Amino acid sequence: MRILVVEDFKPLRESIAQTLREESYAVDEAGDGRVALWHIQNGGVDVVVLDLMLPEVDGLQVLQSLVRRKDRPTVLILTAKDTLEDRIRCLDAGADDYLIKPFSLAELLARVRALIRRRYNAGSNLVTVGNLTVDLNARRVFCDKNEIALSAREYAILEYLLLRRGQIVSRTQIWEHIYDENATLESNVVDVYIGLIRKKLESAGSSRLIHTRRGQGYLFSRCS
Amino acid sequence: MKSIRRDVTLHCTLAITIVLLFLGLGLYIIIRHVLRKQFDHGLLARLSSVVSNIDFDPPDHFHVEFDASNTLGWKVPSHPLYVQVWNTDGKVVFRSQSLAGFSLLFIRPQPGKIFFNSLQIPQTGHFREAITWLQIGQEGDSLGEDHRLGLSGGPKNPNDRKQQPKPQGREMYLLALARPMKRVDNALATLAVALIVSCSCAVAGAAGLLVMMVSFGFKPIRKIAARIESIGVTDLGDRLPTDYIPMEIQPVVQRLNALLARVQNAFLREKELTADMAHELRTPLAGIRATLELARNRPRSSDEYRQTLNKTLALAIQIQNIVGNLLTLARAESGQFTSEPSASRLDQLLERNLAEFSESLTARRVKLEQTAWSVVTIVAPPELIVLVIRNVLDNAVSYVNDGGTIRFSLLCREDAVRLEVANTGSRISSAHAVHVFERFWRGDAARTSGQHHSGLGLSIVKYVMEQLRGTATVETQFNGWFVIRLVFPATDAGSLGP
Repeated sequence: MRILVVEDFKPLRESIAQTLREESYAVDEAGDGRVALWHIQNGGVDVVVLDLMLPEVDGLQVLQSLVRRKDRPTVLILTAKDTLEDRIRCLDAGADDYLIKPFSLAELLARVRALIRRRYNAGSNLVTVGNLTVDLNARRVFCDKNEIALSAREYAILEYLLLRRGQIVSRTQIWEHIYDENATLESNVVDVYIGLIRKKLESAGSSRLIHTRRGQGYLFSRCS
Repeated sequence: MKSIRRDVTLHCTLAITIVLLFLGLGLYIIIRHVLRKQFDHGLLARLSSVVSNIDFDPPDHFHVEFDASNTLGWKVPSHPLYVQVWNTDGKVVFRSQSLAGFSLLFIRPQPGKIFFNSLQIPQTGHFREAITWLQIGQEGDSLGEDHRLGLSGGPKNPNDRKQQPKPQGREMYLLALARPMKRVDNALATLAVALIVSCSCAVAGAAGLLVMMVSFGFKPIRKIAARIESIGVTDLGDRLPTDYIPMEIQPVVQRLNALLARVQNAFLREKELTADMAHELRTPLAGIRATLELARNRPRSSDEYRQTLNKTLALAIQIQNIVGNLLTLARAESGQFTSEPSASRLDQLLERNLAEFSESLTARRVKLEQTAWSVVTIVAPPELIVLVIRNVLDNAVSYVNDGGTIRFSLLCREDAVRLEVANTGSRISSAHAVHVFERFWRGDAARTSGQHHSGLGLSIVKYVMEQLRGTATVETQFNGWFVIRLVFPATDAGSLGP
């Protein structure tokens, strides 16, 4: 999943971004509102962690402009403003969650996970398709109670396909949501990872769940 | 404890008592005078009556026929009438039986006058005596021309016997008539008691009424006190009503409302400051916490730990700067900078403080220019001047771009000393320039520069300049020039020109 961290205070922005990257999220950083809007317009952002007091374009203006988008990401406001009026104003403007500084990174991660679930209507932490079960919180995959060892990138691609199960997902969409702006990609990297994931799932006893739609992308489904 | 209500009641009661005392006394004196006058008139009437009842048998035999008429009530036993007649030699020629062995006072009145005198007769009491000259004709029983009043012209000198008038065929005598004043005295005593009792009752009643009236008069004050008591920390926007307040208390209420407004403003400023402080401290605190939690989440290399420590130290220094500047501002606002004004060389202070930044300026290839430079002495508390200069220089050095320029202008005019510090590299728009003196406001450049600024430096400059009765203004110019202008008033400025 791809997360945009918008924070003008560089030390804090760097710490949040690194924490999210270590959790295998694709992370983009923006130090002001204008850069944040540029990232959002490029698409592929699932969650925006947004500070309110920003240079160039205020955080509230960023929020108001992104909620008008069709593919609007979910938004977590991260601010030092702690009054009730501030919280109400932001939530009414379209924010999905509100976290006051200083905060615990564990809480920030939990809220980000919850926002991802909300974005893809996952509902529960445990998603089961056939004999395959994925624990979204623990980021672990099981086939008939046997855990399948996946790398961080493999898990990220599987999670994205799982959350969009029943829909054809293009390679571009996978790139946009799994890789951040700093990633250097080769043209067939997604196909390589898909092949690896299929192999690990099927060797663990799972039926084929990831189907290729030639010229379109991939479909995660029990039946082809 | 001093009580206005008690004092007002006591003073008013005392005043009423004094007024009633004088009124009662005056009334008593007037009534006594009137009663005595009436008594004297009665005495005169009786004197005429006695004269008409005198039976004279020459040479010196007098007899007053008291039984002839009782029209004037002189036979009333409780109010006997005393009559005594002297000849001009002072020899008693007649004395009424009622006098027993006592003699009335012998006085020679002025001719044509009747002398009244009060006297005490033993075992009888207070009397009033009237003495007049009596003229008796030779024929015996005919009285003189003024006999009805018992008066005559009398001798020119009543004490000179040789000059005593002896008109032809007529003799002069002195007639004294006395009556007890018991009735008058009783009436006056009754009057005195009535006046004392009524005045006392009036004073007591007035005191009671005063207590009630004063208590009623203080009702608005009690209302104000209750209203003030009801105003809590959260109701400082409330004001005391002035519509039902008496005119005398209006100034007090107006001052109290003004005081409430000042207290409210002070509370609001403190609230805003606290909110600003919390906000400004939260972000670096969040940075420290996130940095430390990130380092703790998994094992790191020694380089990563060192970076974490450096980052955390930088954040701690930033918090320290914020707290230090806040304390400076708080001290300035509470007047803790109390040093006496003294003469300081402004040009030397600028050079000395600028030297502290020389290393950083050299490393960043910043050029220093002087468009005008005077030797200036300024009279002000030195610590305040240093505070202003350090913050102005710190602002210019912090926000000048690498390879940019800082330009100084120091001029001493007749009316003021003007100091300008300008730096290139400003990203503050002219629309935002008005905010630079606000607490915790930092331009976009300040937010993204990564330097450790609290956003309080120029607030301190503005506040201190106001304390020095000077001004601090800023201007953004073409090509990214940011200019701070300080004007020290003439009263604080002087010049030492070589």
